[in-house]
Amino acid sequence: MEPIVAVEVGTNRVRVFVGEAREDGGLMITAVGDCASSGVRKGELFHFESVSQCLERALHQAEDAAGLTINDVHVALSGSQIEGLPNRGEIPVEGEIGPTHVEHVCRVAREVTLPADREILHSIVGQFSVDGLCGVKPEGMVGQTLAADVLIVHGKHARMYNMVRVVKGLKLEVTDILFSGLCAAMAALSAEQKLQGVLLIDLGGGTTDYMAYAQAKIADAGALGVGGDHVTNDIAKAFRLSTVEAEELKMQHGDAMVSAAGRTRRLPLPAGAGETLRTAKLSDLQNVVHLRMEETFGLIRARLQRQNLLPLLGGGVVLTGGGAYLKNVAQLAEKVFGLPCVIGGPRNVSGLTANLAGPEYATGVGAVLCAYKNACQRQEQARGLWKRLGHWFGLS
Amino acid sequence: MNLGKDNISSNPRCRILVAGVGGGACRVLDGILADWAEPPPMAAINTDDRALADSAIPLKLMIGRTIAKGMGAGGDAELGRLAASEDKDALRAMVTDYDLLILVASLGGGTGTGTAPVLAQIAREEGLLTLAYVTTPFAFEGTRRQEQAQEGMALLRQQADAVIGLPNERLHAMLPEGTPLSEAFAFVDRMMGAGIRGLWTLLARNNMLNLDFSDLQTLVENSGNECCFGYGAGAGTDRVEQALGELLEGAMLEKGRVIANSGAMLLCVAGGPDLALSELEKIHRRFQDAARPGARISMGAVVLEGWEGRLALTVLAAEHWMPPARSSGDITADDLFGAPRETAVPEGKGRRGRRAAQQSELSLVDDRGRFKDVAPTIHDGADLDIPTFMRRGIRIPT
Repeated sequence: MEPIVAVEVGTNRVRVFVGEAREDGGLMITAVGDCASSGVRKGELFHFESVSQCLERALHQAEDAAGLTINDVHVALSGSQIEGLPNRGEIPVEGEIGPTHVEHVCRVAREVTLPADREILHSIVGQFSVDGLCGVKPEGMVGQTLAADVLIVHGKHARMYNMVRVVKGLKLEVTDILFSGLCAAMAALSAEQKLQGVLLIDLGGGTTDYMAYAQAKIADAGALGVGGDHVTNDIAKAFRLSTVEAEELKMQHGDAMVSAAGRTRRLPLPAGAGETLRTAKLSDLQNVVHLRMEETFGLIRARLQRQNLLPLLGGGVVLTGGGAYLKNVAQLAEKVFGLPCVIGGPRNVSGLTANLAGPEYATGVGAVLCAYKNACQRQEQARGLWKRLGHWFGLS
Repeated sequence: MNLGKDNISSNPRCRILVAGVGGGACRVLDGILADWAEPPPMAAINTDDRALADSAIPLKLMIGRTIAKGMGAGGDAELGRLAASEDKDALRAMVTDYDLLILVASLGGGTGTGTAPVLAQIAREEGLLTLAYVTTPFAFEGTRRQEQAQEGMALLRQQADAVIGLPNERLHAMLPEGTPLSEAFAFVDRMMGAGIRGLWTLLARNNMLNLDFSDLQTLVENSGNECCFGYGAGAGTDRVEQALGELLEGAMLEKGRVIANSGAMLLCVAGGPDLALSELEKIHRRFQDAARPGARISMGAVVLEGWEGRLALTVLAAEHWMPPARSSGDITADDLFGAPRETAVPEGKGRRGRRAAQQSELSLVDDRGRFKDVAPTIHDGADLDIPTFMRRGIRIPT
């Protein structure tokens, strides 16, 4: 199989990952390109030329490291416009259910009317039901109605087009566009967690993606246009600092929880030449960060609560993305969701050296993993081994 | 006429919760509970689990278990605030089903001063009208408590719809020389209790002469976030004179100065079945004479069983009254003696909408900082690009 290349254009970093199939069927990451991003805000491209330059640099790095020429890529996409829409398709059946019925019901379930400016990114089959019996393997069963529950992840057409345009401008082909939250879940969650029900939150620089698995299927997905940059901006506003200074302060002392000790500790604030030295209470800084993160988690919680998903998340919460490095962020998530929370990183792949195991690499590695599994599936299909459509999405 | 038989807590017109934060306020509520036959829904909130355990109030909420460890806030308002922030969800769940929150706090201490603004903010976010009844410390309690009380008051004014201040100093003047300390505090608690009771009785009951939630809403929303409260009582044949004298010449309303300055006031008369029309007329006339010309006086009366020969007057006055856009004015004879008006249903949702509109007006482009060039992230009407602390009106000192 050809090496697989995934591109992740984030708000703070642009990363390129190259993966190759191993003989035992596993996946190995063989090269990475990584450079600072510019021209992206809140996951949306707003300056094509800058984005293009960053991407080119990252691609070159990856090409040099892998010793190959990259021709086509998979793109991981985020942004606040991405939404999950659960839908159910139902068809009447007669006699034994065969692959054609399954294919048919999936097609029906995917038929949703979206606003004209939106396009389906993924449609993920969660489970099948035969005559109201949920979670069955329908082939070979006999019944009168066959239903499929799918989650349709959709985004704005224009945003996808922008991304494709930038990639094509570098004389590359886009094989597929993947929702970055799904990619992160792919990389960071175990099959067991998905069975138990789990919530993955990817804390990016400009966006926060989430993906919820309940009752062994994907139950909800979405993205918020709020990320680590907002924390930085809040700090900058609160203490009248530049973005760079605020970022530095966040890295050094940022904390998602307010500590009693923070009330007595004062931090020196960066001051320009000739300015008198200013200080701020650590607890004030903690509070600014806390309020933002609590709100972000709260928005996700509210959404899950509306669908009564919270009690189904026995596997707890997994945090990925660069924002997972924020001190006490897992503690805060535990409090907001009332569920155990851990920091996750890429797993399910080999060849990762220690410096690729961090939570910020989950999306990129997951994108390669997604693409690889897609490719495997296509191969199997080509060999005539029809498998349940998209079954790996739900449970791998 | 239905005399005190209606089940108040299930009254759908206006669901009122009386919440006391901190030790002082819980004592006030305990006082209300002790001499009130049908108490309203009340909640006690404290960081001190022993004080909470001693309270007779049925609904108790212990906050800041992690941060204060059940030992109280030790007079530190910051600790009180953190404790409340820790248990925001519990506070939210507590208030969410009500229309009006009467928040009782004695400012100056740790829990009351720190927690009250947080609770008011939560109530505001949930669309409740919030009236904060607060006392400020006696001068002898020290400057630190005074300063802390002032800071708490300023924060509370930002969050609550109206803050009704009852400076202990003012009450001091009402007490005879040589009053024991414990009695002085008990007196403060009694006055607070009486005020809360007066207001609550007025709103929650099906009264002979109705004042309703919308009257109160109009008063507090245009009060410049500050109301004064007065209470006077009398018994026997010259009960009206006694009560009026206590109110208009007493220290609580600064010998009538507050009434003279106020642009609008809400007047509640509570009496027994023998409450006479002429008495109401007399009270109204006296207030009209005492108030400045054109002041808006809304009056309500309630008849309580077992109150024969007794009379109590409760006044809420807005010194910084800003008339709403639609015309305001005196009450007319129709208002006073006409048929009881239809009670308005409080507009919880509407209020929330109003707040949101105000907020978007205030959100200057600059608050968006580095996001000022890109499309805003709007979620439920809030611009998430604006720092959370700013949207919540939390002041970060720099």
